[in-house]
Amino acid sequence: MTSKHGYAHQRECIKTNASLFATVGNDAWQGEMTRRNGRAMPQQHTPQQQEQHATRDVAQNDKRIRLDTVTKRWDDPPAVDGISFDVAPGQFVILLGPSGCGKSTTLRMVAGLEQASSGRIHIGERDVTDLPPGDRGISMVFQSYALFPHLSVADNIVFGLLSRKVPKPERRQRLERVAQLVDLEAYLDRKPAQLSGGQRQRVALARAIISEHPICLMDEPLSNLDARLRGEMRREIKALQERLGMTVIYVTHDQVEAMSMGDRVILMQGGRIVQDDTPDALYDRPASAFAASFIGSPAMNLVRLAAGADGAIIEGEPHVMIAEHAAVGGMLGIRPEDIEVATPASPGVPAEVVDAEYLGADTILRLAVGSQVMRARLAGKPVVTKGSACRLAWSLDRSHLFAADGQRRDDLTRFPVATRDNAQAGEGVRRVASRALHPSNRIADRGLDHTPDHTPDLTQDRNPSRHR
Amino acid sequence: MIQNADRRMQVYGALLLLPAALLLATFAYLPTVATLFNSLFLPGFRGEPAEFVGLENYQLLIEDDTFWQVARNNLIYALGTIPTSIALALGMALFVNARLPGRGFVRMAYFTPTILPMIAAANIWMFFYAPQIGLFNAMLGWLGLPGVNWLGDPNVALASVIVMTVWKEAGFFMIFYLAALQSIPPELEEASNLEGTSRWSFFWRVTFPLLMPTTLFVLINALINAVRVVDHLFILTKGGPNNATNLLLYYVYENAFSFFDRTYAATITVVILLVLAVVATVKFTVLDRRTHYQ
Repeated sequence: MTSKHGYAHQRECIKTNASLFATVGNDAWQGEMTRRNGRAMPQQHTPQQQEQHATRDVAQNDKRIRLDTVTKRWDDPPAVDGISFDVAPGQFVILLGPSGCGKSTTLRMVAGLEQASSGRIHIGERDVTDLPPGDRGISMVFQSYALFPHLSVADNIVFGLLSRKVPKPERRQRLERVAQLVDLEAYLDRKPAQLSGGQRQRVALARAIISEHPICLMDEPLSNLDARLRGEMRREIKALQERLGMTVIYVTHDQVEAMSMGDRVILMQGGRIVQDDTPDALYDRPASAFAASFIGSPAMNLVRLAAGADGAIIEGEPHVMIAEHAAVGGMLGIRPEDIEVATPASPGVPAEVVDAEYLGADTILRLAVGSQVMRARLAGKPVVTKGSACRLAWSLDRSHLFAADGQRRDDLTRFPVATRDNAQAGEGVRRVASRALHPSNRIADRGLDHTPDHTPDLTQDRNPSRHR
Repeated sequence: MIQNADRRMQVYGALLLLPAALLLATFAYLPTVATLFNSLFLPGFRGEPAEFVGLENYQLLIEDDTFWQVARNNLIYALGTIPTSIALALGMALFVNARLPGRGFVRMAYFTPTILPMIAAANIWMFFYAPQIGLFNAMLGWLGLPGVNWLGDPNVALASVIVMTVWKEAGFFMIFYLAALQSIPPELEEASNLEGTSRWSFFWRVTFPLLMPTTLFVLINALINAVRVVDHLFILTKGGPNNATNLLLYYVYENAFSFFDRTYAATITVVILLVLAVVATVKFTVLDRRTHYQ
């Protein structure tokens, strides 16, 4: 995308961010801030902050964002309800959640486009809660890109520099560098209307980068792109962020973006934080049934637990005890990719195939378990028939219990259902396949054994990456 | 075969254009040509045939002091009404586009003058301007100032007419600006706020250029209106005193229907048409190219 030279140059620039800000004499407030921070810091430090700020580097400090019980209330219930989090310098933080969960409002409060009803927002050492957006040292990429339609790409990119009265030679120099960085050199004279969606996105990125603000906020920047372009831009944005060492808060409702780009994901619902964790923790240990159902595609199976003879059972399926009695009324969560499907003769939870959805690399089976429906993800294209019986198994550490209010319950004892550790399991799969084949079972005409490339080889771990 | 099909398409296209072309020809081009033709004659009185005099009417026009006074009046009128009403319209649109209490009411209040018929509006202003009982003079009286003969004083009359026109037109143009303002996405202002752009700077660098198509449209409309004024002169001044408020179209009317010099009226009309044609050409060639259309 860029030549090695431009790459190295940009890195150098970011490394010397602090001195750069100081030398840009016209960037008055930044120079001012740098100086003020440098002097005022020692007295202002609370012990807690001292701990947090291992580095006294001013540029690093400007990249830290701290929200302290921030609330935005238009009417009841509040759109954002007492949110607190702390973003470390250089972190890529995702605000994830369904529409209307307050994630965009939170971002806009950080940007200063909305005024917080209560709570404080700090950027670096400064309390920015009452500062106008332009004084916060942030740039932002909008969902609609917010490009100025009457200005050329070049004028769009340097718009902010002009506002900050950066002298012309420096403007040109920075434009050159940034255009190279986002691969827009050939389009500088065009109007936004003459660009493709992806190119417009790059212009928006370039405009954010050229300001050399240490913090970049992104509000669903990829949602107007088609799927393939989105994948590309995901990687590019992530690479840019790492290259430039920016702190990014990125709002999305797309869990794929959240999982693939974020160093940390803050999952929100109803104006509150549900879970604030790394992507893998969010996937492996969802804090609530909502978190469990929001991450993963298809989402985690959540089945209601009812009272059985010796413990909790899946509602309508009295034979297999899932967990201790206290779990009754709550939910059992298992990811579709963690479910093993075996023959009816194997140990496990009895189930019946409802239907199968073939997706290419894998197949999603819908299975009736008691009165509930669960999904299982199998590799390839296993041959299954609607209505055929099978048994489900999963390993204990891949199952999750949630209380009736949706909260995760790790204190409850889960009972083992047959797992792949069980010697029989591997055998079992092979048997369900051959049983499926058997003419007497009215099942399909093709055997898994004969089509090895489509075999759902359940004896092997399908998701080795998760066993870190 | 291909040529045949091609020709058929052309005929088809021509037929589609025909109704509009016919109407335009009958009501715009034919009268224009007839006017041009008429301007070359002297009017025939009492059934006598019109006498061809070539450019004599134009000669007369150039020597006609009243015409030049009227033309100057119209220029002053245009310069007085167009920039003021456009600036006022833009200002009002920016104001009512912002979040303010009773926004709908303010918008309606600004628009009300527009929905009044010209004659009715002129009658209202007659009351404002009346020398003895008029509102303005009454207000001046409260302040202890002597009244002004708003429509009777040749030095003030044209300005009084201009003020009334601005009052009437600004609300109308505001509606166009308001519509254009609302089509500007709010993120543009947010994006520029994030860069610390001042409101003033944002207006000149973003809002105003984006409103340019509207400004152009409004400008043309204002210009046409400036040349088209007849009705409120009837009520307010009848062109007086001493032609101080006489404008081109009213002068055309006077010549045609008061002095019954129809060919001279045609001559003035041709001159007006020429001026407007030049203005339209400038608009299409110069201003359009510099304007960003979305």
